[in-house]
Amino acid sequence: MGYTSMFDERLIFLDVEGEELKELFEEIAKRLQQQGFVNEQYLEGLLAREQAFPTGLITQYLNIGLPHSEPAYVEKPFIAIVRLKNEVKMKQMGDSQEMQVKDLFFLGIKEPKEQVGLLQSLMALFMDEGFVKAFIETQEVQAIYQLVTQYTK
Amino acid sequence: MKRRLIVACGSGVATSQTIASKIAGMLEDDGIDFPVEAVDYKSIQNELPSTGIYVYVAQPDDEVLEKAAELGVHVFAGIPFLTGMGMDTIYEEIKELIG
Repeated sequence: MGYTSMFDERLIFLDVEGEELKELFEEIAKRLQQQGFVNEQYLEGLLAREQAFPTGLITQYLNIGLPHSEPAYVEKPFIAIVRLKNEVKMKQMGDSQEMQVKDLFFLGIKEPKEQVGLLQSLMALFMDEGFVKAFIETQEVQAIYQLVTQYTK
Repeated sequence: MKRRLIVACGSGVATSQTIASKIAGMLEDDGIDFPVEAVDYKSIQNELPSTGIYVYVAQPDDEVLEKAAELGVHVFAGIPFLTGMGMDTIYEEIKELIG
């Protein structure tokens, strides 16, 4: 699939706290910026994008969010995996239906033409019951890293 | 019905391309030859007259829906092709129209 290298053990954040999406975005943007993956306008871009085009998806086995900004705010391509302690409210892509989400994949896309393949690979992952079950059960950073890289090879 | 299926989104998030290639792949697997294309929502009014099936990502405006109805374009939701939820039902309906 070719997106394996976008995952990074340093960008797997489990048990993140936050009452609402905005608070979560601020926290993740801070961490991504500290590690040099995004620039200082990223947070603003992330919030604006999510408001205009929500990125939640109610998939068969798991509700997920795929927040991302315009490529201009991304310094290095990445996929950050974020699991929240408690669910937050977000809206579904397309129909803006309200949904609860605990698992988010922040997509750092630098090349717009890569988006299609990336989205396709992720969707294939989330339609794969075996992957999703294992993903939900896995609670450690390294094990999650191994799982996602194994499945996106 | 015009022999063309379009998928439109306005975000440029590549959602429409992703859905279009999913549908195209499913049709191909079923041995059905039917043109599938991702288009920009901004140009939807110009695209509708040459379209038989319109798959939307974001809920289209009333104006667009009226035009689609007027032209006899069949309209379907596209998000199920991303999530898999309800996908088979919609795909069967599309296949029936094409078949």
